[in-house]
Amino acid sequence: MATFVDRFPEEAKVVQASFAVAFIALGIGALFGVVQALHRTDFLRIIDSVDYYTLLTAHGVLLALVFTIFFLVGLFTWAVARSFDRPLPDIRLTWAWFGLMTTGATLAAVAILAGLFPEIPMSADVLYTFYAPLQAHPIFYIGLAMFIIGTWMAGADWFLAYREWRGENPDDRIPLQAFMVLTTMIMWFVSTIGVAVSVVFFLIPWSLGLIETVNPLLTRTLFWYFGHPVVYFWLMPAYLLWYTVLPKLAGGRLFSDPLARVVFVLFVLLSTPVGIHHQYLDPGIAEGFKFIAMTNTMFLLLPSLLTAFTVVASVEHGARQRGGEGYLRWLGALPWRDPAFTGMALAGLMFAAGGFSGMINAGMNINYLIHNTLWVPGHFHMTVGTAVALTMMAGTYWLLPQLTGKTVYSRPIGLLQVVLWFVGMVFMSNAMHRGGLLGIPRRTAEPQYQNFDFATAVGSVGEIQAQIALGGVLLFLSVVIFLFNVAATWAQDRVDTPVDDRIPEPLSSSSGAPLVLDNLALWTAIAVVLVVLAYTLPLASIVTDGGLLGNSPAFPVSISVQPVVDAALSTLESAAPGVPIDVHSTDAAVDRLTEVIR
Amino acid sequence: MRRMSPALFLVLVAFTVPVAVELRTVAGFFGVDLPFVAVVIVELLLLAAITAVYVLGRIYPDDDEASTT
Amino acid sequence: MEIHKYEKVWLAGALLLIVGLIATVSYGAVGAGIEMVGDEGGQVDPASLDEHPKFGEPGTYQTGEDEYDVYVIAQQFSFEPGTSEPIRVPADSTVTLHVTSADVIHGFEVVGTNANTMAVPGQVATITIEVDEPGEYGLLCNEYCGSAHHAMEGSLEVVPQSEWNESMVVN
Repeated sequence: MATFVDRFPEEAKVVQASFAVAFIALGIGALFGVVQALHRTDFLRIIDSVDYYTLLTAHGVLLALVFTIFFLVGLFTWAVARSFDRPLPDIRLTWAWFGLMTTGATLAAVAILAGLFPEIPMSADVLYTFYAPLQAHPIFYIGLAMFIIGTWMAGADWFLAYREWRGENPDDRIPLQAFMVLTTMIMWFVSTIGVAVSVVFFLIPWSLGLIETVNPLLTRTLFWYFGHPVVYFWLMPAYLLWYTVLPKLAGGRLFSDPLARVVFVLFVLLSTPVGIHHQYLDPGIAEGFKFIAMTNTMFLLLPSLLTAFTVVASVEHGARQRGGEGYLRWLGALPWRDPAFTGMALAGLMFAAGGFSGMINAGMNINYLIHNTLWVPGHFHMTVGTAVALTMMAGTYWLLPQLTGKTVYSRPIGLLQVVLWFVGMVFMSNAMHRGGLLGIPRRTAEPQYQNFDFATAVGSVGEIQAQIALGGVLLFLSVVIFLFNVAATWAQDRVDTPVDDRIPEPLSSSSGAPLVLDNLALWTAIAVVLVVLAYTLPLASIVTDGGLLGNSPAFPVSISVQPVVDAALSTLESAAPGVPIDVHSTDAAVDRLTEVIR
Repeated sequence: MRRMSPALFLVLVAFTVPVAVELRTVAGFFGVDLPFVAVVIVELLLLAAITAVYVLGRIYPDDDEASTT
Repeated sequence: MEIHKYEKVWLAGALLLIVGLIATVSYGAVGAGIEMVGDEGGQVDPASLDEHPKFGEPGTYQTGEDEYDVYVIAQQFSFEPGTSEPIRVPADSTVTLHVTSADVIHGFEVVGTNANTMAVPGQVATITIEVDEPGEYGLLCNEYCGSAHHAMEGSLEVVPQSEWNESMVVN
């Protein structure tokens, strides 16, 4: 039977290329990840603490943006061609967006990695959130802008495919996978406006010296306008796989097509007017606006809770089709040997845990306890780092054979890989959550301080550090095994039937779904109205208070910190003689600052 | 005994890790400070239990299962 | 649209959870009176903090009986006060912290407590804390602020009422 690569050879090439870029980014990002895990826990420090932030920026950008989004565009291209059962309108457009995204990602990566070489006058150690007035090299912002525009073109490509399909099928329901792609892209178009305005109108001109100052709260708010929906942009490919592929792998079929559509519509509506929940602790934004963002955020739990039900129900149905019985014994009848199934099941399980820690983040007042602590990376390594990343890796074991016509090199190695990821992440994210409760900060090269120690309730800080380091090493090992398995698969010879790629119809089919669910224009309009309601007043007050361009000049993350350290040292020394203070601690602080000078 | 697949065995082994680690945290909530050795012992006990079920399932499979697999 | 009975029960449970979570936060804000960072702090010009009536001379100001205002400037890579000398406040008092930044975005976290805020240049964050027992707390910057971010730390000292004296306040 012909699989995807036989039916759509041109599209299969684009999907393979997108996956290749994604996996290269995954490999580099994971390497930097393990270096950081060992560095901040003080087990092994092979880099300067100054370079830690270069690696951290690269880790965030390469994994959270490049790996996830390149996998997404590959997956969505597959889903669109497959579910409309027609090639994309013009493959040159498809290659054009792939080229633009790859160029943009490469420029941003070069700007970041140049920070490791003092002789290159370029640096972008601004982390993946790039909060002004810390300023990166213009190439970094330009690369990001090209990358985002590339994703817009990809969206346009899929909507053009939809238009062609609609022309020939005026009365059909939109196929479920295509529906998921189109709704996700609507959310993306609405939400990336924020970061595009921030980068194109403020940060690029500012980094080129065309404008003198920026309003840091404005660019930060525009970032988070995009920064939460991007979370769902990572998650929607995982949901697409959980809804349409996981039930099949489990031996059954999706429980309900209409409810899957409801979930995706809810994400279109609610994903964007929530970004201010990342700014609960920001001055200059009234509490009322934060409360509105929190209410929206809590309602955003609804589609994920519905997903949990539908996915578990579909998997149980599959197990019973395979002969599973009893209240819990059916779990044993699931195809645990299949790395694609086991990986997605473990990812879904960890997403449940990550969802609960997310509810803590979302609570406006308890957030104070964990804001910017290690709890936060603990949370998102469970969500984007496992629910998304592990689902993508697991999905690869089922998708790659369809895209290449080659069987997976080794399924047992694949199984070991996904289980290793799960165990590694249990160690790392669990310890990160606990460390966060003690107040250990995130985004810090050396969370060891002169003035105080972190007090623990259970266990010790040393144990937490050991768990983080061990988890980081296991995760890195898992990525290495994954990349090996993928490369070995690519090197195989083609066979006739590399994988069973049929996806059965859902138990409750799309015919039962109200027609209004397919009215994409309506949902777009409501989403825009909700965004306008949630953001007009906060943005207006930020601009009124601080001015459109603000008054913060640039603080470039230059290759040398010498001037800053000198200034800090002179302040410290001038303060020291006159004031009755502990001279020892001042000396220690001076030593500490001197250390960071290369 | 029901026959357990090697894959399910591997997944169950993976699950014992968070159980053993978190048991100590839960004990901490109730004011019981277990030493780290306790985690290792609990983990070993869990592994022993799962291995026993796995091995027994291989040696004495249910009749109907033995004939179908 | 056909919805399974179990799914309806699940949906109802999910909505209950959501409403419950919102209710607890609302209770915390209104009932228990947990103050959160809002826009009350107003704006300042980060380039001319030294001309500001309070940030020009940052430190502890007495505003009433057992009521104090503390003005703190965060800058690459120290808190003033906080790093070269500790922030000092008397035990059993109500303290309002006013935090701003002179350069980039910083974090202000009193370790092990929920006294935690962002320091954004141009904006003043205010948080009010109830201080009880004497003791010493760590202070750290929890937002990446440049290459020596990890060296940005300090301390907050809660001084016993008996040892509290005039030299510890600015006004």
